[in-house]
Amino acid sequence: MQILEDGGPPRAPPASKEVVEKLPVIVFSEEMLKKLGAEVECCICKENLDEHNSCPICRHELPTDDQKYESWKEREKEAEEERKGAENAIDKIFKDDASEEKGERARMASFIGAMAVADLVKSTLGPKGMDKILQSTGRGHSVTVTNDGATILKSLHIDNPAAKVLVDISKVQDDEVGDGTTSVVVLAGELLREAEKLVTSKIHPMTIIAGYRMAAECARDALLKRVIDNKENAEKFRSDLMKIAMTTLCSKILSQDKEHFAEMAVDAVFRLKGSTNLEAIQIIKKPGGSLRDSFLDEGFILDKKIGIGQPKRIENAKILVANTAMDTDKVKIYGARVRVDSMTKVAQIEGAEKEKMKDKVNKILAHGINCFVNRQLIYNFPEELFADAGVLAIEHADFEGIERLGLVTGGEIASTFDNPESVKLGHCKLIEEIMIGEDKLIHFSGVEMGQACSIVLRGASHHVLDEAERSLHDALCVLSQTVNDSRVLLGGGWPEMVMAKEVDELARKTAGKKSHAIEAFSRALVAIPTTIADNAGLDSAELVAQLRAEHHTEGCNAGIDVISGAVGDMEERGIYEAFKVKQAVLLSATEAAEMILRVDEIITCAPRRREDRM
Amino acid sequence: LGSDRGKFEARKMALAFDEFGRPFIILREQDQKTRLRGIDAQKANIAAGKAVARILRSSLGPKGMDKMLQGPDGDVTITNDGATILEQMDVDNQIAKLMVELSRSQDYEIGDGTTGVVVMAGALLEQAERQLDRGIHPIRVAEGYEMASRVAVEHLERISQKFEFDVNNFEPLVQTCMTTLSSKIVNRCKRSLAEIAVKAVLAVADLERRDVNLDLIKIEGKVGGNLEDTELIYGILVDKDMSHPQMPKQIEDAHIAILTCPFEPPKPKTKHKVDIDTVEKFETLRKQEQQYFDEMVQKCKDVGATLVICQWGFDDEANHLLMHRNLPAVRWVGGVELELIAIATGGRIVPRFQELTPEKLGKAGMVREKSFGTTKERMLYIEHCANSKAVTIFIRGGNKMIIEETKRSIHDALCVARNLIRNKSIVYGGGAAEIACSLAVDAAADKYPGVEQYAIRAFAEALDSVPMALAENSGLQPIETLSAVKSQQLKENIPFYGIDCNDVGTNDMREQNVFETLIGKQQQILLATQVVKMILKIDDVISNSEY
Repeated sequence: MQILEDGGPPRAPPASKEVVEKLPVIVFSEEMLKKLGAEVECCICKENLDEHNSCPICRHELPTDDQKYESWKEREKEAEEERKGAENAIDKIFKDDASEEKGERARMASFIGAMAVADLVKSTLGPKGMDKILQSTGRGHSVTVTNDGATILKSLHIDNPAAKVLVDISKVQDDEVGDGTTSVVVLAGELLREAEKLVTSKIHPMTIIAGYRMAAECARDALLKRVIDNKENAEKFRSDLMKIAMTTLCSKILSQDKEHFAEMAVDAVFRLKGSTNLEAIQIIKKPGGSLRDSFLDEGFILDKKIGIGQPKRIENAKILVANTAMDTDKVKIYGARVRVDSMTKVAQIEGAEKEKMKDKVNKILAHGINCFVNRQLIYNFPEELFADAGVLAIEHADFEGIERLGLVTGGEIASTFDNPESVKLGHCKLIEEIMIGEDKLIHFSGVEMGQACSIVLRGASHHVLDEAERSLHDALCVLSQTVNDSRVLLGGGWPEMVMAKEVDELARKTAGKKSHAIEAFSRALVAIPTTIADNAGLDSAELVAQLRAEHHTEGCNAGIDVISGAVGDMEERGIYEAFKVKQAVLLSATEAAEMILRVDEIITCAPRRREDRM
Repeated sequence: LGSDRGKFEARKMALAFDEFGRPFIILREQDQKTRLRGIDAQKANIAAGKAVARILRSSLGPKGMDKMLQGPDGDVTITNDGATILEQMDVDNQIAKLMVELSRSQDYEIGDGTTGVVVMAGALLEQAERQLDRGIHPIRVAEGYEMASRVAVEHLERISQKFEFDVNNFEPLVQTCMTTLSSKIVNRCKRSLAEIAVKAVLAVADLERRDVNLDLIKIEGKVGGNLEDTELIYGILVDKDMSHPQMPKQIEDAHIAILTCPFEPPKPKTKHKVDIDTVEKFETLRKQEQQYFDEMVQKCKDVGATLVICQWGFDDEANHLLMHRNLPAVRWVGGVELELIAIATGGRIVPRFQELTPEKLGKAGMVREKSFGTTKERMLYIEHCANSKAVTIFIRGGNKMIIEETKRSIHDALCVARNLIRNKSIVYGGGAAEIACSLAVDAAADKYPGVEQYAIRAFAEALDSVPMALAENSGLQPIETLSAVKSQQLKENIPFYGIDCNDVGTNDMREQNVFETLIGKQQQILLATQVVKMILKIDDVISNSEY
């Protein structure tokens, strides 16, 4: 580590080896350690301590081995005291505990925080990316195993404000396009890493921002030039979607059965007919069996049991979907109360209440139905009445269930029952009770409108199922967005190389200091294929160099094929990505990097005092 | 930090009264510290004011940097809006609080220039300190400042220019808004945002009375998409969806009933009880209840409403009835939105069903529900309204902080546009106006006999600090640049030369199209002078130990 020539503060040297050695190691638990293997260490702290002496999150400085640095720190401290002496008239402007970091220090704090977060998720990028175990601090210490960037970042407790910006963009990426949550953070981190180098070589952050903006614009145009749009050709479009789904899934736990799941996801999304409302796709998780046993059901599956004494199988069902109280129908007139003066009257009123319920049931039955699904509870009494009439009554379907049922069967969700002739009933060919694993479910098949559907996931454990659901959700999100914006790109680091090439061109053409920033942008872009290769244990330097050479020729389709570990034609391998995802990654990463770069001062308010609940 | 805290604690003191009602001061560790008074108090106050100004100084101008603020709950704000920074800074010093107030009042009055005013005040304080060191009495300094500020404001009036625009030619307005936006993070698409802001203001402006009610412009934001997707909606955007999932998502030629009464049986304000003691009563009550719901829906239907917007919720039964009668409805719409909808659609807010008449319905050409992203987020667009006087600016952006910052930036731009409609005079930005004023004040100083002369000259020097900060932030040599521009202004007697922050290659702000509003600039100078005067007059600081 070099100390800068006199003048500027020296770069923070690595922490003292001894102190690092002595840092307490927190043992989670025996099983976890077994799972993780022997070489576990906190990936941020230890790595960082090799380079700098401060914790990336809290900026606490550990003692160092570096004499010069230590003495500089001493001097700095004294100087600080002196400065304070000179301005002794100034009271503290801020409240106690509030702190302020300025200029270079502030910038470094945010760079380091942001980069630490990016490095944290970096190892999950790409088809050979690794997973992370997240243990919650809440009750039960529940464990999540995932490689979904957004999920990892969401569960981190971060104090560094710049790191929070990155977490936020990852979350937005998740909400908006559903995939690329890791890429966006890694790209932003790389942009900041490059920016840090530029700042140390005395280029003003504003110049860097200007360069990044030009580069981002240029990169986007480069992508736009190379997009493939197969919207016209339905068959090709479907195969595009299949490939996108497989590309997305191949970095997840589902990669073994990616074809199976891709097929499922594409089918499900086509059923939505262009809507992006993923609520209509129900994902039911049932532990047991293997992932391969998962299936897409054309009809609709409701995770409920059929009431006792009611038919277990109904053909040509007419369904009334309702949201009404079937326990006691309370009087809604304000201030009403029952006041009686004798036991007989109580009995009479009870009778009237029952009569009222019976009326209601009769009204419902007057719709000529043989299946009644209610969102709320159905009490024993009405249930019995339904059973008597030979009607299948299902209680307590949740709200989404009801909505989806309305969508699939084409019935309206009813709450009043006075006009049986005009209420639209739902129809389906067959309702039956089916068994998945140990559980009984109700299956509606042969539905009229196929807008909603159910995917039943099977798997060894809850963790597997949860991760499978997240992966499938990513795929579904990307697909549903692609249906609306049908432009696709090749994958496997191809878009990054295309962008990097154009951006490099631009850097050569641009005069002024901005060109350094533009060049840095292209380096940051190349970092993504590099990381993908690194994570797969390949020789990234070699591969990226090859890739760059390949891309020198016009119209090249080369990318990194992680499976075979070589550069290959992405079109042949069928590795595709959605344009919308790539664009969102590019733009929001640039935006976030820009935002962090612009900061020259961090003011932290005193944390709000919470009441001690001990 | 520990020792510092100790000092701070020790400085705390309390004012108490003895049995005769005479005040005396209790100081903790009295032997070590005394309260601050006289010149020390002034010095301390000036130092505090300067410290605040120093924080904001680097945010000034198009190349100004942002501040990252972490709130007490860990929420992060990134901004370079002076008022916002100061508001969230968790300031504890009394004088610093005055500066916060200063920036806030500029925000309320003008809406822009909140950073500039604090930097200006800081510079004035700095100059005042020098005058105090020379032995000039603070009151004389304050008076000198007062005179100088008058000269400056008058001079601004003189160099200001009327500028012409009308509804069809709003290009000059757009240019001015672009000046404001160029210092924000959104400057990537300042052109489109400036246009949006100007169009929004013109849509709600009353050009006859020269008044703009900014309340009619609603700013909504939603994360996702990018800044370029930000749009101006001639209508209202409500962050709500249809009450029943199966109601139509799009209504053309909507007749809107705007209700503040809930869809439920009446609730008299007076306490009452309805006793049910017989079966008959139970039955009638049940019938009545049903009738109520029916009647309510029927009333809406009868007057010809095709959409009901309700401030309250309604239960499943009412919801289904509405759905069944083909009457789409929106529930839980906030009071402010309700008012905006009423203004936009020309409808009246109806507090009771009995008062519903066809004339009171609002009309909108198109009402539609639009969903965003992959999550279940929907918003309701009410467009092509009968009265286009209410508009919505809908901001999209990569993350929450960008959206918040864009909201603040747009607010600034809106304020600027409004100020221009109120008063068409402009002065040139980029520090040009300050330099011109500085020259004028400097020249005027010599005419004043007495000690104030020095204070007036100090004022002129303080005015230079704004262009100086601009140059500094843009990476230029501050002193060189400023003196070059100053001499240029003096030589050619043209007050349009300012600092070339964006490296365009010319100092002529007319060519660069950098304008600011006259009233904004005047207000800055007046407010800064006032606060500085106030601070200078303080000669004793007694802080309450309780806070």
